[in-house]
Order: sequence, then C-alpha cells, then structure tokens
Amino acid sequence: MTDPDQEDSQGGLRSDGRRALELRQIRLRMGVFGQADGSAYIEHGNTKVLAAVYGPHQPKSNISRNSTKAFVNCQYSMAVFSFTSGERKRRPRGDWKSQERSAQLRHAMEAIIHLELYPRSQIDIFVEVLQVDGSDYCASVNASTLALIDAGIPIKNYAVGCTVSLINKLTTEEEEDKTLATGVLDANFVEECSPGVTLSVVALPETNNEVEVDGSGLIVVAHGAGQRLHLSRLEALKKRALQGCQDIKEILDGGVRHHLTANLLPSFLHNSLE
Amino acid sequence: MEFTNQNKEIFAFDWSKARFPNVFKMAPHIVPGPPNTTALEGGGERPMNIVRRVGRERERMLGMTDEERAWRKKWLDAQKLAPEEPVTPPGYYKEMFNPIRRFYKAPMNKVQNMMEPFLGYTGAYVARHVISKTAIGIFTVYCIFYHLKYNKMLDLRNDGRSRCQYRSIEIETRLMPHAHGSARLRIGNITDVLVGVKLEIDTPYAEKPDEGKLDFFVDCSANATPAFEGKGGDDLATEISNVLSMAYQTPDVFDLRQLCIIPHKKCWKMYVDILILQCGGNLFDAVGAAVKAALYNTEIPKVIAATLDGGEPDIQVSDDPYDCIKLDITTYPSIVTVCKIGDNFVIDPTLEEESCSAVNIIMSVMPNGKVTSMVKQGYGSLLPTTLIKMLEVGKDIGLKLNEALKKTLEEEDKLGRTKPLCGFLR
Repeated sequence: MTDPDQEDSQGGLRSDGRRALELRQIRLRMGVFGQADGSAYIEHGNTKVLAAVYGPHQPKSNISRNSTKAFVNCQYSMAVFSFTSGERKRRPRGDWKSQERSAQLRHAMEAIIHLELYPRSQIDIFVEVLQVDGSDYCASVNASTLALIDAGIPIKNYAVGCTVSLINKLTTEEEEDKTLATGVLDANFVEECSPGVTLSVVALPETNNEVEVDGSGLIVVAHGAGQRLHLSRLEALKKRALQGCQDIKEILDGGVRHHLTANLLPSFLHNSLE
Repeated sequence: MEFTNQNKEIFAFDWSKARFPNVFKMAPHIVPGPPNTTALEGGGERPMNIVRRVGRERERMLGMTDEERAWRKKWLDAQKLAPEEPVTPPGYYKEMFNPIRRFYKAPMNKVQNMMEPFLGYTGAYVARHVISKTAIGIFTVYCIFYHLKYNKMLDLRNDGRSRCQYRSIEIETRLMPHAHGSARLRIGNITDVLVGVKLEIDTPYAEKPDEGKLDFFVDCSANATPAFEGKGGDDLATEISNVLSMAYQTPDVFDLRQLCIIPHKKCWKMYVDILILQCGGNLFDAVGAAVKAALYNTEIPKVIAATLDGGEPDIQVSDDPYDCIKLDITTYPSIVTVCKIGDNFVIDPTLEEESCSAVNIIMSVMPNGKVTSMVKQGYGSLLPTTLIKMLEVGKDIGLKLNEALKKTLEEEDKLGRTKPLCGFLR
C-alpha cells in the first residue's frame, strides 16, 4: 500500500502497479478434494477460494422433492482468519453478508446449470473463502463454476465473475482520469475500500467473438457496493466488466483443458503437453 | 516284564531233541509260527499242508512220480476259483472293521457298489479310493488356503498398515502470510485441516491479571461433508475445541504469562482457528498436530515500548516484521486417538475403522510423556485394565508423534522464509 500522494505520480498505474484493465494472477486447481463430487481452488492474487460440489443427490428438504428442476443449495462462508487486514472474523457464516452472497451465488449457478436434467434432486455448492483481498464474490463464482465442471454437471456456459471499480480520484489531471476513471478491473481490497463504486458482475462470456451464440455475453448477477453511481457511467463500466469476464474465461478455460488432458492422458504423454 | 522260571525253561529248549511233524518236512517254505510246545508234548493237531513235496520248484525238478503228478494236478485245479468264490463268510465284515470305520466307510461302500456294474470290482475299488482320497486332499488344501488367507495373524489393516502405524502426514506451514501463524495438515491425502493463528490486543481477565488469553475455534466447513452445512458441524466443532483447550490448559504446557504485555491492562489474545476442510478419519490427531505446527511458526510481534501514560496503556509494536517472539513448542502436546476395534487397538483410524469401533480414547501427550487430557468417546465401555493398556499404547505413539513432528518442523524451518508455497495448488 502506498500513500495517496505517491499514487498520483504513478502514471496511470494503480496502487499495486497494475494497469486499469490488468487482472491479478489467476491460479487454479481442480479436484482438490477426493471426497467431494467436484472441487476447485482458485487464487485471484491474494484472494483464495475453495469450492466443493456435492450432488446431484436426493433433496434433504421436502420442498423440492416434487419439483421438475434441480434445487441448487449454496453456502458461502469465510474462514475466520481470512481477512488480510489484521482483524478476525467473529463467525464464519450465518451473518448478513454471507447469506446475501449465498443467495447471489445461487442465482448465478442456477443460471448456468441445466437444472431441467435433474428433477427432484439437489446440488450442493459450498464455498470457503480462505483469504480475502477484494473480488471475493467473483472468485467464488469462478471457483464454483470450476467445481461444477469437475463434478461433471452439465452447464450452459462458464459463469465468470469480475469486479469493476470506479476509483473516484480527486485529481484534476484529465489525462490520468481517462484510463482509470472509467473503471479498473479485478479490484483488490484497497481499491474496494476506496471511496467509489465497485460493481461485481457475473456474466456468461461470449464463446466466440465473431459468432453471436444465443445466451452468451449475458449479465446474470450484478451488484454494486459503495457510493452512488451516475447512470451515464454504467455503460462504460459494463463494457469493461464484460471485457474482464472474457479475459478470465479464457484463463479458466485453459486451466480446465489442461486439467482434463493431464488427467486423461497417460503419464508418458505429459511431457509433450508442456 | 519279568521272566518266570517256566519261561526260562522254554527258551532253553533243546531243538535237536524235538520231534517235528511231517508238515515241516513237506512244506518247509511255509514259515511256521513259534513252535507250540504244548502241542508237541500233548501231540496236538497241526494244520496239514496239502501241497506236499512238489510245492517247491526244486523238488519238482528232482523228479515226480505219477502219483505226485496227479496230486499236483489236482492241487492246481483246486486253486481255481469257482464263480461263487471268494466267499465272504457272514459276519466277516463286522469282525474286520470296528463300528467307527464301518460308519465312515458306509457312503463310499455304496458308491463302490453303484460303480461296480460299470467298472468291475477292481475298477470300482480303485475309483472309490481315488475319489475319496482326492476329495479329502482338495478339502485339506482348501482349508489350509482359507486359513492362510483369512487368519493370518499378521498385524495388517485394510490399507496395508500395521496397528500402530500412521498414514502419511503432510504439513505445510506459513502458507497464509496474512495470519501470524498458519499450517495445513493432511493425513493420508484425505483428512485436511487448515489452522490459522491470529493475535489481538485485549484486556486480561480481572482474576488473572498477568495472563494472556488463548482461544481455540473450530469451524467444520461444509466442504468436508454436506452434513456440516449451516449449524450441522457445530457439535463436532465444540467437541474438538474442548479437547484442544483441555490439552493446552495446564500451565506446564502453555504458559499464558508469555502473552501478557502490561499486567491488569493489556495482553495478547491468541486465536487459534481451525478450519476442517475434509475429514477422512482421525480428525483429532490431525487437528492436534496442525495446531502444534501452526503455533511453531507463530510470530508474536515484539512490543518495544509499553508504558502507562496517565493510566492509559500505550503500546508500540516493533516496525521490523522479523523482530518477533517465537513460541517454544517443546512442551506442547500432540493428540493421539486410540481406537478400540474388537480386542485390538488401532492408531490413526480411517473413516471406516472409526465407524466400526465402539470406544475411542482421545489423549494429549506432552513430549515428556505426561498426559494432559483424556476423553473417552463412543458408546462402548472399557475395563480399567484395558484403559491402562490403551493409555500406554497412546503414550508411546504420542511420544513418537511429537518427536517426528518436531523433526519435520525444524527441517521445514531450515528452508527459511523464501520457500515456495504450494498450498492447494499441488
């Protein structure tokens, strides 16, 4: 973290040295746990998320027993030591924020799973945030998508989360404002805390840029936090967010493909992969 | 047996004076039994051989009279069996075989009788013996095989371990730089525990003004099983945290005074947070070892200036992140679960073994062999002698576990702060 005066003289760079459209390093691994049907671990910089998928199995509650669609059950919980900034969380789950996140995660996952294939059944998605450094909701959406793929549950498209943050800087220099003020991607904790709007967008990215596939490029869940946002700026933010989602999707897709080939191919062919 | 006088006389019998009956002269090749002296004296009856002189080939070569020739022919004809022969006298079978033999021979006798029309007497006889002996042989071989396969008195479990053997344990420490201390421990690639240690400045309890606070919090993540969702894992979490706080309660183990900053005013509160990510049996041992590993690399920031400024405490923490106090883990206990299955004790039970055991003893063992806490788990009951035996087994294992853990942690510590973190990416 640098002090604000230094930040201004960084020539369009953000506090951690990234450019406006630059993502943090994304590292992922699928099949972390043996007992779960599907599991994944993802790191967006310092944000670390574990996700596990159980199911489809017989529903626990009576409500969904006769439904024609699968019931998606999500639980978002944060480890009590997850905060990067010193303090400790009192409870891992059950607070207002976690419950809201669980509901939003469920909405995102319901949008991509072929629910109609599993009537009278339940799919559990459990997300455990190990370390929070901004964009934790988006990371958990990405981890859940990977875990669903690992579990072999048919999905329509990747649900990719990306945050776009508007850093309201009080600088007068117009040059710098142009790059940063239209929103920065993949906000870290400092940027999320800064006075400005952070928009978390979950979108189904376009699979191919040329061909418009039905149901691609759709925003599924979007929620903002922070201050008010002028409507005129929303369009630009949305565009940037979709761009970010597209970038993340490519990284995730590469990771999934590598995981599958590495697991399916016999070991003596592994060297030829790299 | 003593020889009597009479017997001596028998042995001293003078054979040259003996009168031999004709039988011996005519058929000397028939080996006689011991001479019946009573018969000699009394002139008793001896069996007569009807082969006569020409029974021996040599005698025949000397020449035979016609009478002898005729006799010989008659004798040879007499040797041929009539169709009804050989005749078994009634009661012969009963006399020859005792009731037990008659009993066990009966089934094969029947089989032999059934086979006789097809195989003839000899064939049936051979077949009967071959069949019965082969059957007994196969049965014996099978019994031996079965015994060796299922009754090996080997000290072997389902996964190939012996009774007092741990699965492989993997520890990675310092993997969460944002916590003051952290460790991740995996047992046998299944049980997965993550421990984070965080410190906060707090006010000490009024009754213990010069002691800090140590708090264990266990969170059973729903990632482990869907049963832990919501409040489902709270019971297990409370159980584990209770065992831990009992194990660390003794001043011998953890001296809370080292967490004190200013008596009555300020102290460190140490939160040891345990996150259970996956359970594949033996959770308590995993948690115990992981907590010890996390405490080993916990770095308490050094307080460089602690003053009371007009009754208000003023604390300054060192700016240098490397300037810190490390905890001394040489007294910290590790937890050992001794699982009783049948008559045996098992260490490091898997989920399956846990489910079929009636009694668990969870004990915490200090590196000097003292047991700081002990909890009995499960529905079964224990004899006092068994309990003591289990405690002894647990103590030995605990000592070894402490030793191994200490060695591993020191080895990892040697890698320094620049060691690459693998975390969950491997």
